[in-house]
This record gives sequence, structure tokens and C-alpha cells, in this order.
Amino acid sequence: MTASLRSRLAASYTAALAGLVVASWGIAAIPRPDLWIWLTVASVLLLTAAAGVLLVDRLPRVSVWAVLGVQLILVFVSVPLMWVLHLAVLPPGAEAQLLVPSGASGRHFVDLLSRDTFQHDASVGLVVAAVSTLIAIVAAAFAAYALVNLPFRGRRVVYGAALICQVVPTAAVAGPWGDQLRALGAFDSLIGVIIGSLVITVPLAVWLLATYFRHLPWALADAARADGATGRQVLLRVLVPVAGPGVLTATAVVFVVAWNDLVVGSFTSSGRSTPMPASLRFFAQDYDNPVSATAAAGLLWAVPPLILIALAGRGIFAGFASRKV
Amino acid sequence: MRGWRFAAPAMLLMVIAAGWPLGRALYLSFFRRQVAEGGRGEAVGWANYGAILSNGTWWRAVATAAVLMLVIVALQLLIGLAFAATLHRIVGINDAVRLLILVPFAVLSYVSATAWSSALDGGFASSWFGGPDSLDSWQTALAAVVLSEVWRGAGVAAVFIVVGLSRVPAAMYESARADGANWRQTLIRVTVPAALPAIAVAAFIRAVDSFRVFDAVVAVGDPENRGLTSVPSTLVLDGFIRRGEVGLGATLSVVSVVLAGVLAYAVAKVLRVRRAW
Repeated sequence: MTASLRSRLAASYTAALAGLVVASWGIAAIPRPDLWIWLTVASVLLLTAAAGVLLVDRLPRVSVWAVLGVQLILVFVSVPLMWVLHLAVLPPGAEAQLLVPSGASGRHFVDLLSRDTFQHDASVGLVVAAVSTLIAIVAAAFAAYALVNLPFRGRRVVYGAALICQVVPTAAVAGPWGDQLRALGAFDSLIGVIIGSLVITVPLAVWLLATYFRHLPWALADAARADGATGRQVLLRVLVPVAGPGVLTATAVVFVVAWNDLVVGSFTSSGRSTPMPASLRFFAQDYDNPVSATAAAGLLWAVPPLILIALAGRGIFAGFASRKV
Repeated sequence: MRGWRFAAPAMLLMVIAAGWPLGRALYLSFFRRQVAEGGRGEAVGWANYGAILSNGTWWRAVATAAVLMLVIVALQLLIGLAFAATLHRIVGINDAVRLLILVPFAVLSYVSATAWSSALDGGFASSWFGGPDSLDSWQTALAAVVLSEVWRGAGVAAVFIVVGLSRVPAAMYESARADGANWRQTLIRVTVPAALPAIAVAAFIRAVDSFRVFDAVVAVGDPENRGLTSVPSTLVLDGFIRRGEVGLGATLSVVSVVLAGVLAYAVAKVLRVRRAW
């Protein structure tokens, strides 16, 4: 028996064992309707095991371990997500005890979306994240270009600063920055929050872009110049197509991180210019069930990052994967 | 020096956004003043540092952060490895699965920790696996932080590890096969040594990130057990905002920056990470 057959059988037996454990624990301890989820998972595992054993010498390109891995990923990601959803749609007065909701009400979503404070905080959050990301990406693109292509004295200082900024706890910077803004009379102002959030976006952008730029075929630009291309042609026909996808991916990543930052807003504002994630701590308390309102707001807030990750997903992996040692 | 013309804006922004506040924190840490008062306040020398370094709450918060970091990083790497091995081997639905493992990362840490805390406290996790009656509230809170951060970060760890695996040149596998290595030998002699640097970078980045955990702890922090459910970052929030003592907050900032720096240096040494880029 070859090693791959043995590995495949081992995976099938593991799946069978896991299926049996899940089924017996489910029957012994899990109340309905969650029991159906457990039994579904158990049957999928048992079917995987059966298929693995029956088709052990067919389909050589399918790995049974990988099929198990995908099932693990599905459960790992979707069960907690379903719990957040359950919390978000909890009807008034109900208590969430099991994973499957017993009733559903969209009241929190409707209420949040039509509430002035949420709209206001969400737009502040959008402006802060967008402006901060834009500034960071433009500055970082130049810096990363210089770090990769122009040997100059002090480049280690720039690298070092970007790295140190990512090690330092954001709260330790945002705290004194909030006090500085008070002293300047700019506490709770949009510009103060934006500058505060640069400590997150700029180092991250420099780091992502420098990593990405290091492996771009910059020689193409020299070749284009040698062929007589003008500066503008080199930029538009060579540099933008070559570096564009990576810059867009980095923009998406930096934006998602800035969009989800709760720290800076907590230290530099007190309501008027508090961006959404930071204000979540306070306005959720206005609801009869703060946990439920928090979950609903969290799901709404996760939509733009999800779209960006979906759009940039391929780039996130390709950008990293193109790195060679 | 042409390079500086390109690098100066980013450097300037980092100095403004990080250097300036940290410099101010260092300065303010030698004074005592309430937020509402203007001016510098009363010069107290090293008293703020003495107060913090002799304070049990501070050291408990440091210990909490360290334990959280170790547990979170270990679990993230373990699950990340399983995910990465899966991603590395599947064909066809690669893009969908890659997207799937990054979905939890899109959920706010604050929201995820709140949800996990309610899952443990009478929610689905306690219905499935028994109630948290045996746990104190601070233990439930920290368990929620760990579960939340592991749930959100395992996918990110997997991304880094996939990179490590994809760095193993295909020729090395072919040579290994030509030399008659079985899969275990291939794993131990080829895959692991070649992927280890990337795994070390992943561990470093996740460790630094976990040590900075803030949102999740703020979400589940238990006022009754502040010392046990605080980390240095949330103590900074306490100092500046809740108690409004600027000198104390500034000192906490300085001390936690130093601590984070020492920790990052130590982790980099242990993992032999020389370049994180």
C-alpha cells in the first residue's frame, strides 16, 4: 500500500471517529434545534469517511485531509458568526441560549440605520478611515519606492520607525495625543482624530508597500526609458500597471484596519467627532439589550470590510505569495 | 540624498503621529494634573513611575497581557497551521476558502468579544458544553477575549503560513521524491525548515498584535476585577479618560511602550526574526 493511500485511509478513519464523537455528544447533550446542526455535521463527517474509504484509489487529486480541513474551516468560521447573527436579530425580551434563533426581528438593524447618531458616527468613521488611508498610502508609496530603489543614508531609520510604530500599543500614543489636542483646543475635532489615526495607517502602509515593491520588476521602467519613453509614459504605461494592483490591495488592507480601529477615537474625542467603532461602546447602552444592539451594529459595520476583502482577497494572497526569500 | 525627498513625507507623518505624542507622554509623566486643569501641573519627579511600578494592579495587568498573548498566539498558530495546510492542498475552491478564513477578521474585535462573552455566559457555548458556573466572572471574561482573538486572528495567521509553504520551491519536493523520501521525511526535512522563517514572522506579528489587545478587553472588562481583566492598554484608558489623571496616564503610556519594545525585541530574538518585511 502506498503512502498516499495510507494517508487517505487515516484521514477517513479520523473523519469517522470525529463524526461518531460529534453525533454521540450531540444526542447526549445538545437540545433541539441545535441538535440538527450537530447531526448535520456528524453526517457530513461520516459521509466523508465513507467516500474516502470507498473511493480510496480513485480521484487522486482530491486530498481527504484537505476536505476535512475545509469542513473544519466552515464550522470554525460560521458557528460564531451565526451566534453574532442570532444576537443581532433577537426579538425584544427574548434570551439567546442556543445557536439557532427561535425568532427573528430586524428591529436593531432598522433602528440603527434610521438613527441620527449612528448615521453621524458612521460618517465620521468613514471620513476618518478614508482620509487617513489616503494620506498614508500616498506618503507611503513614495517612501516605499525610495526604500526599494534609492539607496540613501537613513533608510534603516524609516524602516525602523515603521516597525516601532507597529509594535507600540496604539493606546499609549492615542492617550497623550488626546491630551495634546485638549491643550491645543482641538479635542473632539475631526482633524485631531484623523492625525491620531495616522499612527495606525502610515506605518502599516509603509510596511505593506515596501514589502510589495521589493519584488516588482522595476527594471521594466529602465527598459522603457532606454526605449525612449517619456517620464509620463513610464509612469502611466509601466509603473502604474506594474505597481497598481499591489497599491490597491494595500489600500484595502489599510482602510479595513483604520475602519475597524476603536482605540484612537476613544482617546481623542467625546461624541461630536467620535468615529463609529469607538462610539459603539456608548450608544449600545441606549438599547434595552446592549449586547444585541452591539451585535447588530457590528454586523452592519462588517459589510464594507467584507466587500473589500472579497475584492482584494486574491491580491492579499498574491501580494504575500510573490515574496521570495 | 534623493531618497529623502521621497521618504520625508511618510517619516514626517510618523514623527507627528507617534513621536510627538510619545515625547509629550514622556514629559507629562513627571507631572501630576487632572485633565480639567490646564497647564503643566505639579512637578513630581519620578513619583508617577514609583506609583505604577509598586502597584499590584499594574503588574497583574502585565501578567494578564502576557498570559493572553501566549495562549492566543499558540492557538492562532495551531489553527492557522491546520488552515494553511488545507489551503495549500485544495484545488478548485481555493479563492472561496481563502475568503472564508478572513471573514472573522472583518468583524470588530469589540463585537466579537461581546458575542463570545455572552456565548460563554448563558449562550450557545454554555448550553453545549456546560455552564460557566465553575468559572469566576473574570475567568469567563478572559476566556471570551482568548476565543474572540483566536477566532478573528487564526485566518490572518494562516495567510502568513500559506506564504511560508508556497515559498518552498517545487524543485525541492521533486528532489526529495527522487531521493526516495516518504511524506514524513519530506515534511520534517523539506517543508518545515523551508517554511519556518515565515511561520516565525507570523508568530512575531501575531504576538505583537495580541500584546496590544485593547478592544476585546474593553468589551468584557469586569469593573469588579479590574486588576485581573485589565491589560496595560486599558489601564492607559483608565488613567487618561476614566480617572482623568494625565500624569498617571502619560506614565502608563511610557511604561507600556517600553514594555512592548522589550517584548518585541525578546520575541524577535527567540524566534530569530531578523526581518519582518
